[in-house]
Amino acid sequence: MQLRERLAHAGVLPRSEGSQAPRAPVPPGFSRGENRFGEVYYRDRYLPLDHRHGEVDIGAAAELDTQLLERLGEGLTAAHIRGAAFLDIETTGLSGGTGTYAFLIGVGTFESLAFRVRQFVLGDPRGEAAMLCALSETIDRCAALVTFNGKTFDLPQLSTRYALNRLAPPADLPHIDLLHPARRLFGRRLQSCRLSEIERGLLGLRRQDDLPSWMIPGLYFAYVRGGHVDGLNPVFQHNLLDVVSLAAFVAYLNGVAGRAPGEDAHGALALARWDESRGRYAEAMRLYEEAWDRDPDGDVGGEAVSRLARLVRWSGDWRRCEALWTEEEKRTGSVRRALRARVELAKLAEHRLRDVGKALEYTREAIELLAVNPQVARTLPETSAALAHRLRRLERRIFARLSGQHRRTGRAAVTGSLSSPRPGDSIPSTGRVLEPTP
Amino acid sequence: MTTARALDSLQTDPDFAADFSHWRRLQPRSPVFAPFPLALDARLPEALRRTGISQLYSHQAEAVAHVLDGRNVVVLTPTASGKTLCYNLPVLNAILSDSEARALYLFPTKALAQDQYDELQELITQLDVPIKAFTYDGDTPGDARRAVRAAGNIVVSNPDMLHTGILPHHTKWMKLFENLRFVVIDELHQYRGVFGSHVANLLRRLHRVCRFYGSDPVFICCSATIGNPRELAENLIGRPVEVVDRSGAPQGEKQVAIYNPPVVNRHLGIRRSALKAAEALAARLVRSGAQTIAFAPSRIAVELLVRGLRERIKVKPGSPALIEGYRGGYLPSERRAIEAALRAGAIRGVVATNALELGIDIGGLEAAVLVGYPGTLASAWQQIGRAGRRDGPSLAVLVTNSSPLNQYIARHPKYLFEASVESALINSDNLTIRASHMKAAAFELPFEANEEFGPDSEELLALFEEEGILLRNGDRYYWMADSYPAEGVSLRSAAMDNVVIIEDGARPRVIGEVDRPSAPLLVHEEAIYMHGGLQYHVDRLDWHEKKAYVHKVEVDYYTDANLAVDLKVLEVAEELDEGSCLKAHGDVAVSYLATVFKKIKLDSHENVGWGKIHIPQEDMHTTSYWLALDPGAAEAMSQPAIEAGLWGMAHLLSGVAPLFLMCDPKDLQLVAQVRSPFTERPTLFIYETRPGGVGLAEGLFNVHDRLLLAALDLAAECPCSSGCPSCVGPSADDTPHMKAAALTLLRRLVR
Repeated sequence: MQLRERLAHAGVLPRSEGSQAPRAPVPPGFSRGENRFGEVYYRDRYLPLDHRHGEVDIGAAAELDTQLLERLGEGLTAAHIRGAAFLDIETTGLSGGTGTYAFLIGVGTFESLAFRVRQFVLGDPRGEAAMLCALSETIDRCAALVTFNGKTFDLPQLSTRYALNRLAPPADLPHIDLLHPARRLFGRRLQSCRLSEIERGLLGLRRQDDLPSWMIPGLYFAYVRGGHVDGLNPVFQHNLLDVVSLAAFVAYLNGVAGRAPGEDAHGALALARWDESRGRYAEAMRLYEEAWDRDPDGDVGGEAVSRLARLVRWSGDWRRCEALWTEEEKRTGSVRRALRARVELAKLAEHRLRDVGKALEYTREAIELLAVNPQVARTLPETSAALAHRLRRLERRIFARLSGQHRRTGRAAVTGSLSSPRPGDSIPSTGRVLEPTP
Repeated sequence: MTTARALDSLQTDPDFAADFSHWRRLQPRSPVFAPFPLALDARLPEALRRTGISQLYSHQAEAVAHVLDGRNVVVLTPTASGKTLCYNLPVLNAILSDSEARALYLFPTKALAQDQYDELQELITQLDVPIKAFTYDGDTPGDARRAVRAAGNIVVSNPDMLHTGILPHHTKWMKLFENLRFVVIDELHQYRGVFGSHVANLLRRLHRVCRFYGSDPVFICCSATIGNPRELAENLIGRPVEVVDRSGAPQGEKQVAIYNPPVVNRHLGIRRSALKAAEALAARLVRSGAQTIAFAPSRIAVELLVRGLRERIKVKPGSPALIEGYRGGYLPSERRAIEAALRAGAIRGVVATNALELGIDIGGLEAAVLVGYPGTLASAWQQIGRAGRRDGPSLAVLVTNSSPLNQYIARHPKYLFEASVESALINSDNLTIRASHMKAAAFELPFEANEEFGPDSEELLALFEEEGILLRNGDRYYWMADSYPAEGVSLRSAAMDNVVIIEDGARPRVIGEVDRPSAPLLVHEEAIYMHGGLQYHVDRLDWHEKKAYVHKVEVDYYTDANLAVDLKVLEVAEELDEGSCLKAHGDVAVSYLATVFKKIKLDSHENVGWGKIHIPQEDMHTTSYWLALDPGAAEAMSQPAIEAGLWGMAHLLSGVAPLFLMCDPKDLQLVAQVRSPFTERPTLFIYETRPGGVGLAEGLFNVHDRLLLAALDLAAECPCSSGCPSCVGPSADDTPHMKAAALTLLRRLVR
């Protein structure tokens, strides 16, 4: 058997035929640049600042409100975004590791009159150092990096490439990964948090003839191996739109989260969750209250209360917690929410306020509420069981407390009588007998 | 005292005494000490003194001196001889003088890595210097991984993790590779066969990555006693090594005995079960007061032995167990608790699997019982070494079973005591294995066109380019494909796919798997597949998807499939005329076709039905050793007698092969051809079951003479009349006298 057959047989080689490659040509529309490492292929595309991407003016991204900036990152100013690099890369695979190339890198920047997208393409692997060096030159002039999922994908990928070429990575800029606000704000509204879903669902953008991502590596391989340069055009376009979408999404966020807190309970809750995740607790609490106010009966307001209560609980202010749940119980028209409030109050009274009597009272109220709302009770068998259990426990505790005094004194009487019998103490009825006699 | 009493009770007990085939007393040996090398940082001896170690054993000092001089070293260490200091000392020494220095420790299993890590951590605590050691394996959580990569002076891991987790992401490990001063490979002897061949290639990849970052680490290897430590180490790490094999560790007096259970059926050559005999022996030892460890060959055997011993040695209900099991599948916390109870003496007997002979941290016990020869001398001595206290005598008993290998050892105890003849073999150039690592290597770093990665590297690179995996650009080959090649390669097997066995039902459940070469025989449709003592009927075999669907049955027959094997010689690597025969080894193509199966009744062995098997022919390229008889050697023998003789010889040879090569009998397969189309003579082929071979064929070629001699001894000394599983294999009534024929042939060949 020949080497090839033996390997194909063992499953180490695919059984397909490849073809010998001529050197890959410069793609049409791309220019050659040069630096100390060699040649770089790149092109620039300019979009006017009033360019509409879907239903969004991308220019708005350069004029952000402080509310949004504070949410995007501590100490962030409008200048950071105006001077940011909007970065997106295309790679030869998704598995990561040193054998995966970033063959196309798109960087968007706001220039004085336009939004410029510069794209670098890797003509052959030898040119990687030159490309990375050119990328550094572009990024190092910027004030921040904006990506979508860049924290886990684009940036580690790039730092692997720099390391492999023994080059220092670009300057360490503030990094805004838009995946996080996307998750916080729209995670429940969208089917997924992919950029394509954001374009469709929020930006109102419909891409014409867009490439499915899995095709991208293959088109690049055809280019580096066989010089099939035309196949790359849709890849360039895909990457260009990705970069523009980053800017457009920032502009969209400004509309949602820039000015006053959300118009509706939903928006307020989403913003509050984002604030909470960024450690902006005061703002988060204010927004939770807002969502609570706007939705006294529904699920959104319900979630807002419980998240608010959790933040209050962290502060350890049990009285305030109690006030909050009492308020909720009074205000809500939802049986479920009222029930939950009573359960929370019971827990609070039993474990935190250490008021068994009050806990018993809350628990009884909750059980009554279930009793008069059998249709709700039916859907919550576990809550009913838990309440019954709580009731028994509380009653036991109260009973034990009442009878405990008798038991204690009884035992003491026996030891007392064995060790030092004293006439006159025959039937002790209080604990006082334990106290040492002077 | 207890050992003496236990010994006495065994030697005088009429139930046992007669069946001990051998007793040997190993003389106590005093320690040979050596001072700490002067080049060591003074803080190290100080820290060791605090733990009660005031000087080194000679072999430790020798190994440390080599490493301090920058030489790679392989240390052959008996159990409990303090091997860890051989690497921990130079490694810690380097880190004390340069806090950026790094070391990578590789252990074959996670459990071993954890044990050694604990020991290392203790020494670091004694040193009271901020040296960071971490384990890095599949269980390491994500955040911790970042810390290991950035700050770990010593990374304790395993080859599988290096293969899929570290090397393909080497840029994240830049700190480690830039400052890598030492690579420690413990349990070197375990890296043999397929696993070893993989690891040799993995280390080729490691060398490339180190070169890229400008480091050139020293390799420190530790191995149990094997015949070819230098060869194995050099083949694995691809560098010259110094061998340190004179142990300075003390050894208490030790009695080693071989117990061969009595024959209960002379005709079939069946002996009393080794497991039952071991149970009786171990119970006797425990009762006479000796703390005893027993090694059983499988998990099931462990459980059976534990149960048997507990029945024999009753405790009051509710009181803690005197006998415990200890095997894979126990939680680390359970294992630690058992170890502590053993050290405290609360547990009097423990039963372990062979696999854990190394990982158990209990010091020495008074007695060890081995259920069956564990397959290699290295394992046998590691198990025997578990019995042994520095200050008193100890006792170890090997209970042999009826396999040819065990019976050979029962009759030739010299083999166990005198020569360490077996070699651990690898084939780092196995084409299949090497090619898959070359792909992984290309993923990690581009290949220079003239770069060496074993023979024919250039040709392979060109081939990979042609197949669209690599891209040639100037004088370099770049990985250019959308895949992660390390993922598809398991270091522990050569076969690419196994057949998964699925119990069909409302919730289908995987109950096991069989390797591809055995699958046509074991899981063809209508086969009765045995698993965990239960019978399963194979309803459907999806050969394309490699899935067999089964359901549980209880039937009174088993199935036996017939495999037509065709073997063609492709290329002769070496051949030598020995007069009475021609011996050779080389590349062969083997094709298997499962044809029919028989249903055979369990008790009476009568044939109760048959069926056809529909599985496509399988082809494999591998290596084989063969011997072709000179016409004179088969003189005056009938054709059927020659065939029977060849098969008998084949059974013997593959049975004794593990005496010389560290391999499992199932790593080898046999073909006997009365008139081989290739040699045109009666020829016996012993070929490797691993595609491409792992060096066993060449190994057999090299030990040809000793192999034949051992086979002859085994057959000649076997008390059976006409063949049994312990020698030439059972012979059927309607075939010629297999044992006689094999003996005739062997005598003529050995002459």
